[in-house]
Amino acid sequence: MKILIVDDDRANRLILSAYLKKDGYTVVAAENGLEAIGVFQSEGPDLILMDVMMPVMDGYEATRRIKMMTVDKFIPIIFLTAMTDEKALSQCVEVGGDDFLTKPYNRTILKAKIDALERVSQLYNTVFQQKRELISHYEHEAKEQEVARKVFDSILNPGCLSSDNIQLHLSPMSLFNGDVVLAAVKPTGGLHILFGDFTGHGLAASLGALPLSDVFYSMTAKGYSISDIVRESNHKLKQQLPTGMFLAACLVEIDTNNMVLKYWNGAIPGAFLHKGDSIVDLKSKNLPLGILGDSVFSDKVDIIEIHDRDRIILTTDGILEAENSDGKMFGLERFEACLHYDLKVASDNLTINSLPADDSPPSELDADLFQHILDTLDDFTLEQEQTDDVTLGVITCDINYINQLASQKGAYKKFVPTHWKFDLYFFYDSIKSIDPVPLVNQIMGEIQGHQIQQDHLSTVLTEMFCNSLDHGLLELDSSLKSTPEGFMQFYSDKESRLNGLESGSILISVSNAPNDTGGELTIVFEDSGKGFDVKKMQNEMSSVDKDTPIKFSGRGLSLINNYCQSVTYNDSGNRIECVYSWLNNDI
Amino acid sequence: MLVDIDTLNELKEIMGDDFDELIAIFISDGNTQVENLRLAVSTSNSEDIRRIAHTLKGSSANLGINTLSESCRVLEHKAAEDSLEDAQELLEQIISNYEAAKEALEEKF
Amino acid sequence: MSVSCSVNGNIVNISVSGRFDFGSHKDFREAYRNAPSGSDNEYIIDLSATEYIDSSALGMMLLLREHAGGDQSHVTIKECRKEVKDILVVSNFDKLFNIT
Repeated sequence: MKILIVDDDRANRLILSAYLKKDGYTVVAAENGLEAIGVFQSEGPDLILMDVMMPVMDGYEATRRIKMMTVDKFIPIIFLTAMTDEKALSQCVEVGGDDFLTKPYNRTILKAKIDALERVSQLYNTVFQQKRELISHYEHEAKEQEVARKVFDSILNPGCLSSDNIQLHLSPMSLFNGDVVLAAVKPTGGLHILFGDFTGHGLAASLGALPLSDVFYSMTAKGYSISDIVRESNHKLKQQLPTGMFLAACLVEIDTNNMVLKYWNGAIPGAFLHKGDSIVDLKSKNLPLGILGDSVFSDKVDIIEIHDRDRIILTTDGILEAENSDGKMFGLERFEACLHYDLKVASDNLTINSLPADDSPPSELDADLFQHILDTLDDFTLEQEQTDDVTLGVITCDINYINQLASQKGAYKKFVPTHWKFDLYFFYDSIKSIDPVPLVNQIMGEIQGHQIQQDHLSTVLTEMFCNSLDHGLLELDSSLKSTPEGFMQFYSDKESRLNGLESGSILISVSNAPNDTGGELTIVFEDSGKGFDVKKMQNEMSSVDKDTPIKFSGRGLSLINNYCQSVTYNDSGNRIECVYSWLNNDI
Repeated sequence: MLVDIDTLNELKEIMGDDFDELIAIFISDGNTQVENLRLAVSTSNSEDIRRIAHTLKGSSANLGINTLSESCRVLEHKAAEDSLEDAQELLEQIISNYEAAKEALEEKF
Repeated sequence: MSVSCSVNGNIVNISVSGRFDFGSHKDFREAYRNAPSGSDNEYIIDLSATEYIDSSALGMMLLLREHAGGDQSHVTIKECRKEVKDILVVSNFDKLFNIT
């Protein structure tokens, strides 16, 4: 520890210096205040003993200046004084002195004071250090959150939340929101909206929004229904969220083709359809998403007829549970009263002004409702601290606008069954590394939309591919599969032969012939293998009845037979052709 | 007591070889201060009187020269109040105390 | 894909999650190999988390049926989703297994 002695009296410096050196301190000295500042800067002492009355610059001024130079570090200053009057002592404190030592010096007291201040300064400097670290952590964290939020927002908002017919109020309690609102235009026209509230709030609660938005946007874009989306969302959240975390959610589809509203509500308390002259409660009939297993989960949607400019009002429990200064909650009753208030205004308007003109801006009345709810809430809670995410959405079923939206976004694309054909060759090395079935499925989806991507077709393709690979290229013997041991042998042979495959290819050819209900696919798998005895196989297949023992093989071909219109083989058995009919639900 | 022998012995023990230097410094600076004090009193400069008396008070106290320190304290106090009637008398007292202390220091240490 | 098996007295519970296809044959076999065999035991195949099955999965379930006592076996396939159930029914598995 290094101590700076500031005293104009040589004898005093000598005595103090001797005392301090005896106790093991390093000592530096200055003869007046100005010199002290210079020595302080060059030597960086840990503690200063400061005389008061000195020529050039006195101890008060030097102390004031040194304290100003050390705002982020604690350097104790002990005043050396023979003075006893209170005014002088209080001036020592005022300029930042930490203690006094009166002359004549007592070595024991000097040592005790230095020790005490050393402990204080360690404590201070630890606190300063922690404060610096905290500030730097906080700044780092804030930067990271900012970046994360940008990423987050861009993931959550590729849809049409900013559309004119959607009014949205989101007031997150923290940077991230436990509430999630997603909206996207359907490829066939119409709008999907998801309104959700994760358990908890903040970062942890918002993480689940990522897989959810992925499912919502990609499935909507592919034309899936809200039933499918809600089922898949539940599946994914159940799989990915920890137990105890789930999502209260309401999914809504505005079907502008049939003028109906389809909805699935799982535990969202405030979901209403405002029909202008009446209000329908879109009641929750389900548990939140992410709780039930697939088999017990219900994706059943309810359907209500709608008219142009009906409005859907959605809110999470944040509004309903908002408290005023008396600890009373806003509650569902007040919320519903807001809706009825608007109902009255609307009908007054109708009686006074007759029907509003068709080309009047659609948002005028709706803005009233949206704003009215928020104003009523503000009047109720006044300055009370917000305790949960408050989210409110009012969506106007403006049919023209929604249809326009779909065509603007280029999302509106009705898939009409057309003529097409593609051939894909897979050689031995690519067969080892890729599964052609999803690829073929994807290509068909790109050409013909999701309507063609059906589970049965997927099964047919998989079984046809396995057949060509197992019996064509790999020359595996199905009869192996007649015993349990052989069954295992079959698959381990399959693995080793596939690894050792050094030649051969499979051609996959798919063509579509459109018809009134959809289309007829002709699917051909042709392999470069030796083929097999077709007649023998067909005889075996037809002889399977109740009397023959159950075989472990041959099910692939019977699945194909079951799902296809026709199945034919060439004589050498290396080419199989199936005809598969598919229905286009868009028609 | 003119000088506190215990204080001086303690200082000597702690300071070792530096103690002789301390005594030499005290005497040489003391001579200068006494001369300056004499000058200040003759010109009735109470600010200088106060400052010099203060310094001499502190350094003599540190060496255990309590009688000198005490008479310096009285003069400093009077000078601070600007009442210099007794200044000449107190100066004589300080000089006599200082000379006696010097003698005692030179004799005993 | 994952296969898990639990034995509780004479009830053997096997569940398969994800894709149930030829890639699962080792895991599926391992899952029940050490479980008690014969018709004194009741086997439950839980397919609630199964996304997809192919014909080799059907073969594997028949192997399990053998292990469980063949025609005298008590094997229940439970909680399968619609697409999976469809394949089981098309393959007439409802005549060999108790499908719920």
